[in-house]
Amino acid sequence: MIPEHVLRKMRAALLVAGAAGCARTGASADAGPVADGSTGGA
Amino acid sequence: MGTTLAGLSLMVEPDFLGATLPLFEEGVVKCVEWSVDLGWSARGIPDWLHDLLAEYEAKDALYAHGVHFSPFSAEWQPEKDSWLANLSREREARKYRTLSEHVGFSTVPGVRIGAPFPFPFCAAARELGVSRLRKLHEVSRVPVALENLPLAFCEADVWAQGPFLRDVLCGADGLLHLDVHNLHCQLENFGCDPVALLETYPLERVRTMHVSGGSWADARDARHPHVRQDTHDDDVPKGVFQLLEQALKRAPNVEAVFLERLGGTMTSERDAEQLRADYTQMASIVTTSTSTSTSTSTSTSTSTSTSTSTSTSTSTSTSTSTSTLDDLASYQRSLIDALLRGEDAAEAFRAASPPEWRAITNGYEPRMLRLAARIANSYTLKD
Repeated sequence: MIPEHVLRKMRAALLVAGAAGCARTGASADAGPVADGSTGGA
Repeated sequence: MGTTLAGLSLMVEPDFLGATLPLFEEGVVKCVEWSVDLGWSARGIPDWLHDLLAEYEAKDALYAHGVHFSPFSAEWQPEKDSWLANLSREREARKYRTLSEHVGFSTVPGVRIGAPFPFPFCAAARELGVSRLRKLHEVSRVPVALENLPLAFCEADVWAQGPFLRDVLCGADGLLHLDVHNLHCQLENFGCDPVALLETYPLERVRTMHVSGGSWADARDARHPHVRQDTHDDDVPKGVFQLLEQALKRAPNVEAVFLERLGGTMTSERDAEQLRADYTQMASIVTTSTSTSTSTSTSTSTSTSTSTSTSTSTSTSTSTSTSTLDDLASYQRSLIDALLRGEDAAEAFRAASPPEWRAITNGYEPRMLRLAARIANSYTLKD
C-alpha cells in the first residue's frame, strides 16, 4: 500500500489542478509543485 | 515463472492522476514505470511523483523507460551525449530494475525529437543496436530492454522484426520489452496470425510489457480503409487483452506488465472509469496467467525454433547484409526528409530512396508511408 502521506500529496496536487479547472481535462501538465530542479536535455 | 506484477506507466497530467489515484488508494498498483526523460526538463517532476517513485524504489518495483534516445539513429548527435549524462544522473538519483527504449529511429541531423520509424533490418543496424544497447547498459548499470515497434511499411518487415530483435538482444545480452498494442497494430494493419507473429519474438527475454489502446486513422486506401496507430489515447481493445493472455502463456520470465495511457487524453469521468476497468482486467489476466503458466513455461522457453514459418518473408531485409552504417544514415535522412514534406513525398520515397535501398522501399505500402508522414508532421521537433 502507498503510505497515507504520499496519497495526501497526490490528492492535494489534484485539488490544485482542479482549482485551475483542468483536473478532468488534462488541459495543463502542471500537477503540483516541482520536487527538484534537475535540468537536462530531451 | 515467478510472480508477475501489474502496474502503471506514470504520467504527470492531472487527468491521469485523477483517474489512477483510486487504484493507488486500493493498493492494486504493484509496480510503476517512469519515462525518465520526461522528467529531465528544467521543470523537473511534481512533488507527489517524487515521493511515489521513492515508494516503489523502496519496494524494488520501479522501472525506467526512455522515449527520446533513439537507439537506432545511425548518426550520433550531440543530444545523445546530454541524454546519457542525464541518464547517469538519474541512476544516481533512483534505483530502477530495468531500462527500456524503443526499436526505431526518431532523430537525424536537424531533427531532435520525433516518433520512432522503421529502418531496414540489415547487418549494420544489428551491429548498431548491439553497440547502443551496450552503451545504455554501461551508463544505466541495469538490464536494458528494447520495445518492439508498432509501425511497419510492409508485411515483410512485420515478420522480420522479431528475428532481428533476437539477433540484437542476443548480441548485447538485452531484454525484450513487449508492447502488446504495438503488436496488435501490426496484426490489424497486415492481417497476420497473432500466435505465429508472437512466436517470432524472443519471448524468453521478456521481463516487462506494455498494454494500451490506440486509434484508427484514415488510410486513403480502398482495400484497407483504416490503419491502426499506437496513440495511447483510448481504451484497451479486446484483441489486446487476448494477445496479452497469449503472450503471457509463452513468455516465462515476465516481471511486470504496465498499462499506458497518455496524460491529457481523458476528458470525462467515463474515460477515467474505463481506464480503471482496463487496469482491473489487465491485472486479472496477469494474476491468472502467472498462476497457470508454470506448467507451460518450460515447453515454450526455447523460441528459437518458432520462426521457420516466416523465414522466407524476411528475405527483403536480410538481403541488405552488405549495407554500411553510412548507407543506413542515408536511408534515415532521406526517409525523414520525405515524410516531413508530406504524404505525396512519403509515397514517392518508394522509388526515390537512395539506390542501395530501392529494392526494399519498392515493397513499402503507400498507406503506411502516408501514415508515417502524418505521424512525422505531428511529433517531430526540428533544431
